[in-house]
Amino acid sequence: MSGVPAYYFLWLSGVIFTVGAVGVLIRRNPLVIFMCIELMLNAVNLAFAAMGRYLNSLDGQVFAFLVITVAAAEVVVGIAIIVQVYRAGRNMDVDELDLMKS
Amino acid sequence: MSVLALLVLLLPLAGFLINALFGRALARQLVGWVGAGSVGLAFGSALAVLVQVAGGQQLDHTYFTWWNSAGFEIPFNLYIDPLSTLMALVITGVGFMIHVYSIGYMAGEDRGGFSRFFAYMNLFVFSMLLLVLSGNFVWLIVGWAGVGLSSYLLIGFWYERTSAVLAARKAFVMNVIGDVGMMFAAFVIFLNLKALDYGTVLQPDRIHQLPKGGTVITAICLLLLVGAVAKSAQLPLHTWLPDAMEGPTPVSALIHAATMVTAGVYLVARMHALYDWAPAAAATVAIIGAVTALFAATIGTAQVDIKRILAYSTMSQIGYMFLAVGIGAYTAGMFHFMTHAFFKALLFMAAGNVIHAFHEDQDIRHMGNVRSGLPITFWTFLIGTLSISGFPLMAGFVSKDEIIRAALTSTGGFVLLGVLALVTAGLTAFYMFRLFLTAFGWEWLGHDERHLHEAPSVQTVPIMILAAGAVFGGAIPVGSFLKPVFGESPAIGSAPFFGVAGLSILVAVIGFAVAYQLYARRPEMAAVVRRRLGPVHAIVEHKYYVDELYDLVFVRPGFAIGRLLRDFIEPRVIDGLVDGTAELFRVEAAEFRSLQTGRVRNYALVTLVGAGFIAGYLFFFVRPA
Repeated sequence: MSGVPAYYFLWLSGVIFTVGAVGVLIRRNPLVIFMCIELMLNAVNLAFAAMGRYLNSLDGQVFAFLVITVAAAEVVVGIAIIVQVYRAGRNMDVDELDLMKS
Repeated sequence: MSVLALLVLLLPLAGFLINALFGRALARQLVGWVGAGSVGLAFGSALAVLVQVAGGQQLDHTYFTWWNSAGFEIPFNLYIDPLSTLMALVITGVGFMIHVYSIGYMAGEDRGGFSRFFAYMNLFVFSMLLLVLSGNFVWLIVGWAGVGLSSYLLIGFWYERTSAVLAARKAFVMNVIGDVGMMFAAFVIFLNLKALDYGTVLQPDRIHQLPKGGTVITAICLLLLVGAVAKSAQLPLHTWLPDAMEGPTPVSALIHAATMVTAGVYLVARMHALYDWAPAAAATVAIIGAVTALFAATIGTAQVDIKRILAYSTMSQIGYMFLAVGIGAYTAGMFHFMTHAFFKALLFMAAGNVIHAFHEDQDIRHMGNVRSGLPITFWTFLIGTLSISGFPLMAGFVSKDEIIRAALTSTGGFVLLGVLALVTAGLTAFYMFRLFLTAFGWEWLGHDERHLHEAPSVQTVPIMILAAGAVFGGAIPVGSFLKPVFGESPAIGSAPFFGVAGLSILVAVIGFAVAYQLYARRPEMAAVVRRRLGPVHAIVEHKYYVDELYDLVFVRPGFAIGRLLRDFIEPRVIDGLVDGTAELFRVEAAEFRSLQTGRVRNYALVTLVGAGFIAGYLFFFVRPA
């Protein structure tokens, strides 16, 4: 793996991040949006790990672990909300879920 | 002796605690005898103290240190000398009589009211004893305020009556004015003399470091006087006393005779070392006393409520005492305090019997035929009337004469005050016999034969004991007993002695004769005189319109300010500020409300664009180090 240059990883990370961001913006199913957010997070993780390796520092990996932890917590809360919304019989469409509108 | 002195103080407190905590559960009889017995036992202890004090002992004993901070120490100490012993004896002795009387008088109350009454009465006696026995200003003020509190509770005892509640409130407000004066006096004393205990403050050496008649000492004495005037119902803080008649009659007896109103006299006498060093303040005391004596006596001539007449007579007699202590005749003042306690408690308690007999009607014009119905009450009331009017050799005559003599033989303008006191003596005889002849004596006018019942012996025996005091109290050698406190009283020749005695007998006889003419022999003349006097009579009958004046100057503006605050400041200014702030934010928030679309993807886009901007900024404008 040492032969692969760092910018390859960064390009891959950028592509995955963009796919996730576009998904968040255009998809309307909350579960799919969630998966897209996971994509974005993991793209960032990849960039962290790659740069850590490139700079020969552990900071990148430490950050990656932190992000994984936060992602886990976020998923728990997010899925719980989605399940509750589903149980309440609401349409699974984020454009319809606009109760917070002033 | 330190234990005995403490007992005097603690017994009424124990009575108060027992009756306050368990009074409802105890049998009626027990409540009454706990209330009266605790005061009686305190009287016994005070007698034991008297034996030792008469033997020449004094005491300033510190029981514990109540407050100690950075060298500033407030002890709890009792100061036992002839003066405080005399006060404690009268308070507990006359107080005991009044408590025993109350057992009979308050028998109509239900059990809760009965125990409440005795608890308050014991608290009253305890506060008063703390006031006179305490050896420093802090505990003096505690007792002082305690007396105000318990008088408030007792005056408003029948709290279902609006008038009683109002009277209690009035008394409390007036007393608090005095409390404030006392506290400021204590502050000034502490600032200038660096101590608050009598043992230090009242040392002549200590006081004489201040300039005689200087601002500081005069300020101290005048501030103390504010407290004394409020508590003793002297001009101009006297208006609460007549209203205090709303309380049960034994309360009136206790307030007027043994406790409370004499506190001011005690205060000036106790602080005589200070007043001797502030002649202007002492003169103020004397002038207030003499003017109040005359002022109250004139009002007394035109009232028809038996308790009110007695209330004004109290004001008048306390005025005598103020006059006495103001001109330096402390012994005479304290002597009059003692005899006054006897005859005034007697008069009030006898009046209570009469009021009960006439079914709570207090108008003297409705009374009559007392002698056949209530013979004991009749004769004891007559004794009290003779004593207060200055009938020769009665206790009231002896002590009052001493004051008038002291005033007339003193130097300076005090002679004029002595003349005022003489006139007051005549008026006293007049209004007391007016009361007596009108309320008790209609039988020789052929008045109706109403069926009246004498009070039970639990009420009449205390009155008879006090009647003995009202007759023979003048023989008690108060002067020589108090000599260690006030020093030798100046000797007077026999000429002024008999001269003044003759004068005061003369004015008393004139007062009696006028009253006899107007109210016994030719009652139709009284109406004529009243019509002739016209406006003068109206002014006197309305107590010189002092209540109305205070109402106009203090009460109404107070209410007006209250209404202004309620109707304008509160709804417009305060609410305006609060509501205005809320309104401002509401209007401004409306502008930004459209940002909250509630669409998740919208928010996500905004977040992303924002993140893009931040990333762009970092990329283009922040150079890595």
